[in-house]
Amino acid sequence: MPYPNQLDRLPLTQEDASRLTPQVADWTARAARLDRWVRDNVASATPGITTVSHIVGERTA
Amino acid sequence: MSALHAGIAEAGRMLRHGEISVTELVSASLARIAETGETNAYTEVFEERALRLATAHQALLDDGIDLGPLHGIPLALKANVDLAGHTVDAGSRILADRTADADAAVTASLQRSGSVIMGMTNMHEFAWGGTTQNPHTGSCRNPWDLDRIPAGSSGGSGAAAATRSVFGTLGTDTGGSIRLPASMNGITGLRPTLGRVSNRGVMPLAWSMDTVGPIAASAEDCAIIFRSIAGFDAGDPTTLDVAVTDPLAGLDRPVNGLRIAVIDDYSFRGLQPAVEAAFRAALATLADLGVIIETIAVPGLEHVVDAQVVIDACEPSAVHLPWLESRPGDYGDDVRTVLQAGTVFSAVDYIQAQRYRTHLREIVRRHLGDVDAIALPTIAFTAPRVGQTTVSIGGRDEDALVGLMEFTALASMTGLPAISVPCGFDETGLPIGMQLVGGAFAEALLLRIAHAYQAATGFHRALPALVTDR
Repeated sequence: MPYPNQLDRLPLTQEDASRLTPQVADWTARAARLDRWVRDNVASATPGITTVSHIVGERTA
Repeated sequence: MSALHAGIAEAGRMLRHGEISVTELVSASLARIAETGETNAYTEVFEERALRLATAHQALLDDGIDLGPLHGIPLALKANVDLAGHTVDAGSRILADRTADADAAVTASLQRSGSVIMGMTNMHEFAWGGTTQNPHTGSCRNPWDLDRIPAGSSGGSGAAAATRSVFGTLGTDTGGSIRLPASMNGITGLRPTLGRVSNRGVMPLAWSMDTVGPIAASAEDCAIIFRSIAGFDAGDPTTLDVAVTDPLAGLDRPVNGLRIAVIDDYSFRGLQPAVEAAFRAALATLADLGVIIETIAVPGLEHVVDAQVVIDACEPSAVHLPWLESRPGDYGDDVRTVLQAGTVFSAVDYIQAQRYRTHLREIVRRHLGDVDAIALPTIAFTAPRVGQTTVSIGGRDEDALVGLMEFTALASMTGLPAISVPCGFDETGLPIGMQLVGGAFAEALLLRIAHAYQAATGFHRALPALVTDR
């Protein structure tokens, strides 16, 4: 059973829905492909931290 | 030769020696903007303001008050960078009535440096796209072929710099929006390290990737602009308090002995034949300069665009959710679609993409301990036609937006600096770009390599036929 997501709460026209179908299909396939690779190749301790200093690896005092 | 083609340093020398006045330079800029109007590179031109500032800056120079290399130099801002008292709408209808109440940090820096802001440049709506085909501000055209796109999202900035209507522009780069127009317009563009340049007063697209940087004819011009805008800003929590290496101090140092890597099974993947030939020739030129070319492996790089798509979709949708609910009809169809689509990802999808990013950064950082930079093409193909929605990459048809990200995603995902320099033309005369990715805060090194390459080649000096005053 599909679970509700944020998209369900947005006002969509018929044209929006038509454009979204291939876009969402492509992007969710990419996310699924990435998820499989991350599960297989990235250590479980590897965080998904998004602060700038972590992204560039700079340690500020 | 028009003073507009001189480069910032030479134009500055001419100003200081009285060979040209600031008013004459600004007037030449205004004339060039008008002559190349078919590109639709500008959404607004500040003629009266620019001429008034020109008079004021000339008076300062006449009084011996010199604000530095940008004093009296015409520049332009992308339409998502705030200029106090002016409409800054990020190329949107949503913000059409928005007046900036203060300068962006980068705008303030450029104005303190004495530059004259000539106008705002056209962009993809809210910077969420790579074509600069904008239903609200009109299509921006590639000056090398008006039937083709200038890339984006900073397409107007790219076209403006390519026609030399200004000496340089500011762009913003999230997934490639400085480097892509630099490549497709035959000019130079620097994406600084994430956190190196303040984003205060710049409309966000994706917070964890957004950067502001220069687009100009040459690496030297980019270095001059970059030096003005780089540095810590206490008003922007995403900047880092790390000293800025002066990019002009060592710009002319030789590059022999530096090590540049290409990525095995990636740097040459799916390139149009002309792009591959130009990229290989550029590597050969670097080798002739004494650069040591090596090959490295980055496992998992085939997923870099997947990760970028997830992050580059989720973060903008979070920014735009209120307007997606209340004013969906005020977006262009393409941007509304990607913003709506960005809401379908789960938190787990987003975090997995960020974990991939952490993993990739560690691998690339280890390599950049051994080499000075990584070389890639900027884009696998030259400028597509306006309206073209797919591109051919390695024999397969790919969505144009995703195809554009193919080689720019590495720097966007790792937060590392990257520069795109022109490295040739295809058989129809469309520009090709090479990209160099460096270690964190290594902008000065990238600019130095690019400057050495440009001293050995002339691609950055080429002008589109649209420019008739040579």
